[in-house]
Amino acid sequence: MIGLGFQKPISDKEREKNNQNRHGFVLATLAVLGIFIYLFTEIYHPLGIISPKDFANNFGFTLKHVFDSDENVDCEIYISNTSLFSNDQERLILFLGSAIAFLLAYYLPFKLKRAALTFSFLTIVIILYGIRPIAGLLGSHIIVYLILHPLNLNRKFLAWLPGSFIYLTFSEPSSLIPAVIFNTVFFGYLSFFCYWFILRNLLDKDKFHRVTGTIAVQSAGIITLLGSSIEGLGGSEWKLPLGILLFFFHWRRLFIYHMDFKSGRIPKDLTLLSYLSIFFSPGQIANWSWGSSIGQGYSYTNDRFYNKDKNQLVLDGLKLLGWSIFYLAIGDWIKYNLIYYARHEMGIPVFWRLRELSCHFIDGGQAPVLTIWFSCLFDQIKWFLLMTGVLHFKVGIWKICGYDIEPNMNRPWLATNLANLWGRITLHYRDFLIRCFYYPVFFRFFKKNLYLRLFAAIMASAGFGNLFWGNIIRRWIGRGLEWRYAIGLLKTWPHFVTLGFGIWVSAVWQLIKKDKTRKPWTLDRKLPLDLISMYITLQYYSLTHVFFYTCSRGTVWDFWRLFFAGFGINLDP
Amino acid sequence: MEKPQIEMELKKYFETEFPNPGLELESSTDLLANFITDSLRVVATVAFMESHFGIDISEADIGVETFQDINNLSEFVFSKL
Repeated sequence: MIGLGFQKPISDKEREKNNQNRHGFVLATLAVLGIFIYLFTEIYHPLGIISPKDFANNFGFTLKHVFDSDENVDCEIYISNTSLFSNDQERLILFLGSAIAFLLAYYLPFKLKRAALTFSFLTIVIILYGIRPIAGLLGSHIIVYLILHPLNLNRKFLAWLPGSFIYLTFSEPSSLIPAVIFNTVFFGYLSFFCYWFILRNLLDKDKFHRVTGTIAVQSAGIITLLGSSIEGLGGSEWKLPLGILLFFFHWRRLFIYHMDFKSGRIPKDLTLLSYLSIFFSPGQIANWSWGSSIGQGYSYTNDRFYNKDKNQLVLDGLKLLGWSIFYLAIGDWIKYNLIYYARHEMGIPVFWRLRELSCHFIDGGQAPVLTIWFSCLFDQIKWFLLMTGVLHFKVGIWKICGYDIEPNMNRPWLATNLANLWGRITLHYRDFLIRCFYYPVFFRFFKKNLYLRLFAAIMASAGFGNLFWGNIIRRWIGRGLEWRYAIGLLKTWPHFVTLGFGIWVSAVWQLIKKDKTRKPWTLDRKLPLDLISMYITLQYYSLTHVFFYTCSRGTVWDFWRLFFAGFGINLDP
Repeated sequence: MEKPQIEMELKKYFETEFPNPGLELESSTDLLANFITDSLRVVATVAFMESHFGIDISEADIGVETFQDINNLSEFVFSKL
């Protein structure tokens, strides 16, 4: 697998062959989703059945850091940026909605499956978020669609939609209904007029089409940069409606969609429903901003729908969902026990959070090497477990709905070098960086020197692209358009530099090493070296996070001192 | 340079740089599944082809069809010469 954009297209005829019903798989899927409902919501209460905590206690499992005060399993799956319901109620809606979406996609005729998934997505998110935010999400996507795929006469009614939806998303909830209806129609007509009589003619000009397409696709980056800059220069903060922010989180996927579009991989007469089916799938609802690159682009998503037997996809999805339950349930418990063991059995002070270590060190506290190592490593292990739990859930839902999406997290503890680890912990995001930064830089600069060429490409992607496009813009979308967020993240630049440098060293080693035959984890006399390489890889990667999870009263130099203290090098003045 | 020689040189490159013991590398062997399995190998292969055959490769040349097998890859190199 060389990049998620590299897919063999599949015909509808081949997809039909993959559409054989086997009801046992359906029952298994509903059972697994039922387990999610039982463990992670309060459904036991109205049903009058034993709570998950009491159930575990009956078998002698009295585990700390597993159950919450509601006596169900503490869970990181949540619905971002909304509080219409409690967390448990949101999860119940999500799990039930996913089950219904799965049934529709499984049993409906092939040509209706993707439409069913799109409408299921819309139904679930309208319930969870309300109509106004989803109007903003829809309106924004329709604007992008209308620009990239100019309408023909048969579909001109679509040009009404952006105006109506965008008005709805900006409208006040307290507005009177007659006013809302009037303004919805008015702005819909305005949108139709502007598009049909002005914009559509301009879009016939190639240069204008290209420029507006780029602006529409990159609107998240443009608007967040503009808003934060104005705020930083003394202006007031822009408060964007939730629907626009939900759309902005699709921005990486839009970026790749646009690349596919420019490469000619997308039919110009693509219908709106087909366009929306790329972005609107039940698998992406949970933790909206986590794994926001999953399901990116047209080529990858489209060619992965029913590209193998759907029951195999369901089985693959169920395996991921099973693992998801495991990681969600015991992630905190594992970290708690690792820290407990280090503190009480090995006598090594270990911090629960990296920021605590950072502040302790900056305030002049003792930070032995093992304290730094284990605090970093255990924190990273916890994040791996929790992210795996959530992202396996998301990808699992994609799979049971018929998409052969690859897992975003793939057993990072098997990585024996940083380049491999980077691909295992964030597959889809890494592919986004490869397509948008790595390849463009590699093919343009330092063509005479492979190692320098690689260095530039890796720093452009894992360094620059990761910092700006991956983190700063994401922080603005998630927390608000304030310049201080950019400043705060810019101070973390050493994390991206040390990460990029480590990946480069691994890549060069892969190219120059003599023994290219042996695969890691082969059962031979070199296996201990794999174990050592794995530990060094995970430890180094964890250590780079002292630049990311920092004490607010520290300077960049303080964090470099902490980083080198992790190697036993004391740089105290 | 003729296409059979290009095929031979490419075969030698893959067998040396990305050995896959137990797999006989033929002209129609799936390179993407067995040899060019990540982006590092893509760029290493590109750099090899550029320096060894003296051709210029752009990002637009990267695609499934080009890298599918030795046959397609040598066809691509031949077209660039």
